Amino acid sequence: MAETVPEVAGARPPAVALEGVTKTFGQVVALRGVSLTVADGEFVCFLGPSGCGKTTLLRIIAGLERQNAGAVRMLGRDVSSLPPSQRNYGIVFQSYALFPNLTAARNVAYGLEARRAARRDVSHRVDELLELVGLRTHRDRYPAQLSGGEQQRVALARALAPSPSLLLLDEPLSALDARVRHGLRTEIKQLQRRLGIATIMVTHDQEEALTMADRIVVMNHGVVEQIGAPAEIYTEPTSLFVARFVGQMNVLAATTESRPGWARVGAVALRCRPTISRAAGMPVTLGIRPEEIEIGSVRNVENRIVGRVSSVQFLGAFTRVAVTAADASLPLLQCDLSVSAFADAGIKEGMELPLALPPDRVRVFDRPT
Amino acid sequence: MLAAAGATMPDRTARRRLDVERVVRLVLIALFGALLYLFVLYPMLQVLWRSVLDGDGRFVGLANYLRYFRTPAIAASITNSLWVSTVAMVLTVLLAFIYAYGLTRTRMPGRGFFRVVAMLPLFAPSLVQAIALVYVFGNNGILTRQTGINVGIYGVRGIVLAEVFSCFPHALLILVAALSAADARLYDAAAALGASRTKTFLTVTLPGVKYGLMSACFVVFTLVITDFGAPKVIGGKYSVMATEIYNQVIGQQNFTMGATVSVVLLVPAVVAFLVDWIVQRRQYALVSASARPLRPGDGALGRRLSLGYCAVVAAFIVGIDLVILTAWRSPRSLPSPGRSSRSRARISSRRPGPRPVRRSTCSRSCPSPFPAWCSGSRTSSRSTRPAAC
Ligand SMILES: Nc1ncnc2c1ncn2[C@@H]1O[C@H](COP(=O)(O)OP(=O)(O)O)[C@@H](O)[C@H]1O
Ligand SMILES: [Mg+2]
Repeated sequence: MAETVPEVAGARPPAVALEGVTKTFGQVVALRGVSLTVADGEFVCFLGPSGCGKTTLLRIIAGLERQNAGAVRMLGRDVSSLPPSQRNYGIVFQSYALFPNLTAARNVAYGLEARRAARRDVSHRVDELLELVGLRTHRDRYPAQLSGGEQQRVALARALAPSPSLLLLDEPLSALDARVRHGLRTEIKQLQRRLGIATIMVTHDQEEALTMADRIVVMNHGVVEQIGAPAEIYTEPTSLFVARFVGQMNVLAATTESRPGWARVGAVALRCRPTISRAAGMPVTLGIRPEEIEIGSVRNVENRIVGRVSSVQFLGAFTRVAVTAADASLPLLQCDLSVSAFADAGIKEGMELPLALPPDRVRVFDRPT
Repeated sequence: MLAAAGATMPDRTARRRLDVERVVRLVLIALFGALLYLFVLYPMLQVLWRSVLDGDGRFVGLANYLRYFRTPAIAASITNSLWVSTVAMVLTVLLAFIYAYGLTRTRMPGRGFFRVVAMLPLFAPSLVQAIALVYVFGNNGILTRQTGINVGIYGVRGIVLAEVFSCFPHALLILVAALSAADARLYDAAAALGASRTKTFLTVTLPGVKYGLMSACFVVFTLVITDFGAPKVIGGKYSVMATEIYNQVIGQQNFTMGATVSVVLLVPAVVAFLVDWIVQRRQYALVSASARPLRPGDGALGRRLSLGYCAVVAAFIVGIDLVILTAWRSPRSLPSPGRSSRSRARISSRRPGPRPVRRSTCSRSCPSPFPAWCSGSRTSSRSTRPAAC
């Protein structure tokens, strides 16, 4: 299911290249040496918790904020100190920021007028874009007369009207209710594919990032934690932060053993995914996703644990079973089971349940001491 | 059962507290109602009643109004008032807008200082400021004697200057509030779409302060059209409605005509007040909760330009206020303000020489020599000014 990452063609420089971008607000360090590239036509998501610097990074790319250090390149051109008007992008803000005193059509026309396009071309292009976002009949409405989803589409049309080479989206869906959000998610993705425009979307919603992005940039406290395709971020998180922020993860505090590839949680020794060898007695954190834990008639002989079902939670497509291990040093383990697997195992609260943690799924992360 | 008892207990105390609150509220409403009636409604009704009586107290219907509009000399005061108010309004709002823009949208140094200085004209009535202008620009004024240039301050020019001066802080307060409530997101959007400064100003800044501008216009218009002091002191032969009332009542002992002019004067004032009230209510809907405050940009040119402009305006204000202050401290050391013969004749019996300065500065505590309704409209329009800053 891995998404294909459009390769950077030799001739075509990346739509955006950031080199060591640093930004401070007084004492607050918002960004610390951020470097990344966005290929032409690629859809990249900046993902991270609130306050990690995603918006700041997007605003620096937009030229609405000036970096303290580092360079911003667009299609090979250094735009580090150019004003927004000379960077050729379209941006959609978190809260739309439509001009309240202008109609939908005049909002869409705004960027074209600012570029002094001919009046007839403007009108033609406005119709074309309102058509594209399905709001042709709303052209004479004011923003206050549009729903949240409609406003967001007008904002999208406004950003795309001058045919920019880059589209920037700052949490474009966060202010919308769930149904509208899911609809727009697909719409934006299809539109981006159709136009083939390089796009950066900021979000704090991991599901949004996983479903929409070609590549995800996971950020935390102003630094890039990991960059990769959604599947890679999910299956091969390189840090505990990424592992816990994207998807669910059972975490176990452990110490390394002298045997390479083994770690001990209390009295229980667990074999882990082979990683760089660590010295014995190092504190580490082990992580395994809920759906990776094997359950019931376990074929595996390694990493076997006996526990008792403490709660069962039906979550639609799957069922989450919380298991208290017999060994008190192990934490409560969450296991996700498909509906059929759950039915086959005949699990009830309070029953005893054998588990296995497949060694190639037990990830090892450094634990800061 | 226990839970039920526990639940009713706070309920009862809450209800009792509600009752107390309601009583307090009723008492306060009654108190303010009485005060309002005594000081606003009653005098106004008196004036209204007077305007439909003749000199001997007989009911004559609208006869006074007909006579008013048929007497060219008196009716001219309407057009004069409208003209002066409109000119002063446009000038004041324009000057105050640029000043407020400098205070709120640039990072020029000394913004706090300039803000305080601009408020100085609030501390003396327009009458005093007009006298100060006479001291400076009058026939016998400081500047006139020093330079030999007589700017001809008596008349429309003087009235407008005095009114602009005294209304400036009122307009400024409103415009500073309006300009402070900017939504940075719209400026970001305009910048990202490549809009020029002019386009941004026309499509973002102006629409954003539209209601503030309208409000400032109405407030200034009301203040000017109801002002008596400045036209009286500096107006010369130029007759406006407020001075016409005085003229009728004090000069000719014609109370009914004075009342008639007062009622006519009330119309533009009330209209301006009502429109302003409606506009104010719409302004609140405009600033959305998610608006991000605007950080002023650091353009050096804008900063220097607005610094220069604000310095000139502030210097003028300080200069006039210094004149007021020196006149108040040593009334006899200053040249007697020259006036046109007509206005001197009219005023001199009551207030000779520079003494009015001293009188008017204490007029807040001393009983006013004018009938209550004469200054009533001015006071009420002042108190309805929206609180800003
Ligand atoms: N204009 C600003 N002034 C001061 N601090 C700011 C400003 N903008 C952002 N910050 C700070 O920078 C950090 C990152 O903010 P932001 O980029 O908005 O985060 P995110 O979009 O990921 O939620 C936060 O700690 C925030 O408080
Ligand atoms: Mg943000």
